[in-house]
Amino acid sequence: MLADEDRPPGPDRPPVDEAVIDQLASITDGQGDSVLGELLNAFLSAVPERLDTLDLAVAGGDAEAVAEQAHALTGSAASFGAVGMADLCRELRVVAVRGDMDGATHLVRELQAEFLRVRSWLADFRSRP
Amino acid sequence: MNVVVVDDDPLVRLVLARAVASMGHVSLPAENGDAALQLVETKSVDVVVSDWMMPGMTGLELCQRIRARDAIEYVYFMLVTALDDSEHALAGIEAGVDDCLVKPVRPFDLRLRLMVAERVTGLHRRLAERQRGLERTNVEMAVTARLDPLTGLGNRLKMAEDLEIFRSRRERYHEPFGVALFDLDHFKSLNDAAGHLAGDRALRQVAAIIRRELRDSDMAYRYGGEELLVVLPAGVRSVAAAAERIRKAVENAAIPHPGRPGPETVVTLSVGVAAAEGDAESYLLAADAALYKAKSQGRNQMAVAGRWFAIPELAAQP
Repeated sequence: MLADEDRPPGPDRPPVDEAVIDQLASITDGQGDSVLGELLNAFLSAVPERLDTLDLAVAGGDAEAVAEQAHALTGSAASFGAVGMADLCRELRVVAVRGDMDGATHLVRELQAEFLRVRSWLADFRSRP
Repeated sequence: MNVVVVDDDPLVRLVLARAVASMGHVSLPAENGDAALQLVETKSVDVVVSDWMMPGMTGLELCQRIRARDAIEYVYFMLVTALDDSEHALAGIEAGVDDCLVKPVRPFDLRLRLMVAERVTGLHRRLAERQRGLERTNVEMAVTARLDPLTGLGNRLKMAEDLEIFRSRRERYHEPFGVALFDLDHFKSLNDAAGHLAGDRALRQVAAIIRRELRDSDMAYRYGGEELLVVLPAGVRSVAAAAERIRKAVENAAIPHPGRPGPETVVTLSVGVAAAEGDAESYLLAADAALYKAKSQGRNQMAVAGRWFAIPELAAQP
């Protein structure tokens, strides 16, 4: 089910697939300048809000909303190379569809932690010379 | 190219829209199928890149809606599906999708696919242009095929078609019509004395006078060598009045007629008028008989066919 089966799982795997970021970095504006900064800012400012929405849905026991939100976040995460987040989102959707709210609560926590890893990885990436 | 990017996820939409713009295209983002359709209807859209799974209209439905439109311009449709969605990709291609991309779309892949899309839409555009050109040529040819090249009046083909239209109008709405058959008097002597070019010129001048004297609803044709036919949607009295007006206008134009026997020295017309009753053959024959009568009575005059001979004010006058 996972797209990245061949990658080693666990904390050794970087939270972000750098190849995807390189691809995003190739996108330029009309002046030929990279728009990567704009794209990453959009990602970093939108995701916390969506994690909050997920949190609320889990707290409210709304399995359907959790599944829907998880599915939506999968696409966003994958588009920005956040492969760990995308995997967790897929897992969360399956768990939510099953109605396992304890599992969902646990996965949302993991997702929040994974987002922090993504954010610090991106901060490191942006501070590279 | 104008590229519509459809995805319900604002982040995915942002990445795709920026990637499309970065390749030198105009990107038109849409958050759902309805918004995308709106863009396709109002802008000249070349390509649609659409997510499959969206709330409301799916990407497949969007493609079907676009294909169902009655438009010459082709819209190249690219569907974005999840990696494990080969079933959807197959269904999409069957429904008219041109290309499938796997999520997440890599900007480089998008660049390659848009290059293909540009080639295909370019071919479609050239085909559409050629099609429009052919349709124009067909219309032009249909017009010239019905035109007498010398006088610019309708030819026999046009005449036959129009008389059929006049006939059906007469039957359906009881609208009468009549014909006036004109002949240039002593045309052969004009050709003999001044040459065929002079004869052609005289015919052209007479045709121009006839057209000037007619209304838009009246029609004029070159019937034979120096015979011109006018058809008017009117009763025979009005047709006769118009024929007489034309005859006088040509006489007053004083077109030189060298070699003409008798006292006259200008081009004149004899004309036979007939009400269009019965089939075309019979009323054209009646007009021809009236024309013959006008000729035999001394030319440069009008005669009205059939029972109208009995009405004095319509009878031929010298």
